[in-house]
Amino acid sequence: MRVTEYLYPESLEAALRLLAAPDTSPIAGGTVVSLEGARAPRLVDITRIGLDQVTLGQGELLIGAAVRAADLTLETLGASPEAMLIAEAAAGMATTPLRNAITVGGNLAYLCGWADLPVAALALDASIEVQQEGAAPQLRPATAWVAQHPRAALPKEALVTALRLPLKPGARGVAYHRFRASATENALVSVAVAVTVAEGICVEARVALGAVTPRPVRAEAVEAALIGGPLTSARIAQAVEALDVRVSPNFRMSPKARTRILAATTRRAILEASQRATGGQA
Amino acid sequence: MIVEFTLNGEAVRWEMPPDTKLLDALRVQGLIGTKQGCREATCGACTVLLNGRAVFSCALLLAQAQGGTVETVEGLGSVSDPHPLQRALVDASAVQCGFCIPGVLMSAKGLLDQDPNPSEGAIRRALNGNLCRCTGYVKIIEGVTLAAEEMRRRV
Ligand SMILES: Cc1cc2nc3c(=O)[nH]c(=O)nc-3n(C[C@H](O)[C@H](O)[C@H](O)COP(=O)(O)OP(=O)(O)OC[C@H]3O[C@@H](n4cnc5c(N)ncnc54)[C@H](O)[C@@H]3O)c2cc1C
Repeated sequence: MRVTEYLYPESLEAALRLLAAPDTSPIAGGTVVSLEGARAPRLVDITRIGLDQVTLGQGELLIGAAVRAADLTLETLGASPEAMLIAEAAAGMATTPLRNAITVGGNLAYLCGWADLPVAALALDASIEVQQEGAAPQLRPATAWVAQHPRAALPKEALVTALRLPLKPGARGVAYHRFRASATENALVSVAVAVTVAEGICVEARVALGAVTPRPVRAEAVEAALIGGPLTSARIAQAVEALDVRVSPNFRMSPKARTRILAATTRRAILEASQRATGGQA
Repeated sequence: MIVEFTLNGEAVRWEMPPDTKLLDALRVQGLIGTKQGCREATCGACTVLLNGRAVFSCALLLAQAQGGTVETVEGLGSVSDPHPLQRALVDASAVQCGFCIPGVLMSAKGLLDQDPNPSEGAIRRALNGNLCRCTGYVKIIEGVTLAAEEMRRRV
């Protein structure tokens, strides 16, 4: 769509007010807007309104929607298992010049099949903070976020303002693994895992899969099979056999091959997360 | 719309339609050192620095540069007075057809401006958005390493 106006609000309030008008949509990193065209003739630049902050709050890590993928590192996020998963997901996103542009909010809102942050958000039980003019900020759980594409689920004037991660207590381990043919190709499989172990027993497990279905999904059958016992490599291998996700066809690789790679990638990611949770004692 | 920014150290004021890509704006203004390759954020030939960071100018609107700084290969050096990166890529025989080189140079400059003594891993990561179909990358990485050494000697 032809762009007729490009606006630079200086505050969140001003941006929300502009977005409430018809024919208006946000632009953040611009990687989609520039390549695929704008969704509305009036663009509101949301990178200059203070959404580029990372805040460590009470038991929560809040990452502003305008934070760039390149800045999702342990230096900016602080050290926590949750930060580690986000940093690992971001480190392998696209290529360096794209990571310098892509924003957290753009990655969550555009939610393409291979988007990495929604997968990590799903494994971390995260919420996506959404704001719009005249309404209180809303928190949408990552599970709801991926269940229906945000473009369909949200009114067009809604702005993603932050990714909020609960910092969970206990012995936690995370891992983000992906499989792709080369650095410049989209992931064929990505897996985010977060596990919590108490007295040698897995008490919480979240396994999220990306790039294999139109939107990220949780491998709930695998999660259920992990919980309640020790995270030994034998139990992990057995749990992965419960994988029941139907892989979408992709011209690069047959679903059969991709399903096998998905299982292997999932097993390795769970194994690494388990070792991190137990300090290698699993 | 009017976009004002700093281009290679000079203040500029360009009037262009609001959906003009940065790549097209630069080339229309005669800065054709920035190459147009894939136009889909994959090849890296159009890499420039925006506010000090390497970005693909095909995947960015000119309007996003409002108030910012843009550096292109034209700002690096000239034939008579090359930048150490330009000199080093030639010395390392890292230039064959040359089409990818403006982008490679800008990605490498973005790295060296932040990290004057990068590991080989850091160089590879910084250049992972720049495709080269001639060299196989080994000599490019040698060239960037050489340039980093030379630049450290100079300061
Ligand atoms: C070649 C290529 C490879 C890529 N590889 C990967 C990859 O491996 N992994 C990965 O995760 N991503 C990858 N991406 C990035 C991904 O596909 C999107 O391009 C990116 O996430 C968009 O972010 P942006 O900030 O640039 O969004 P923009 O282009 O600014 O916006 C994208 C859309 O989201 C809307 N939007 C932006 N911000 C908000 C907000 N805060 N609230 C509501 N709506 C908003 C815009 O209106 C627009 O419709 C790749 C992109 C390209 C071009």
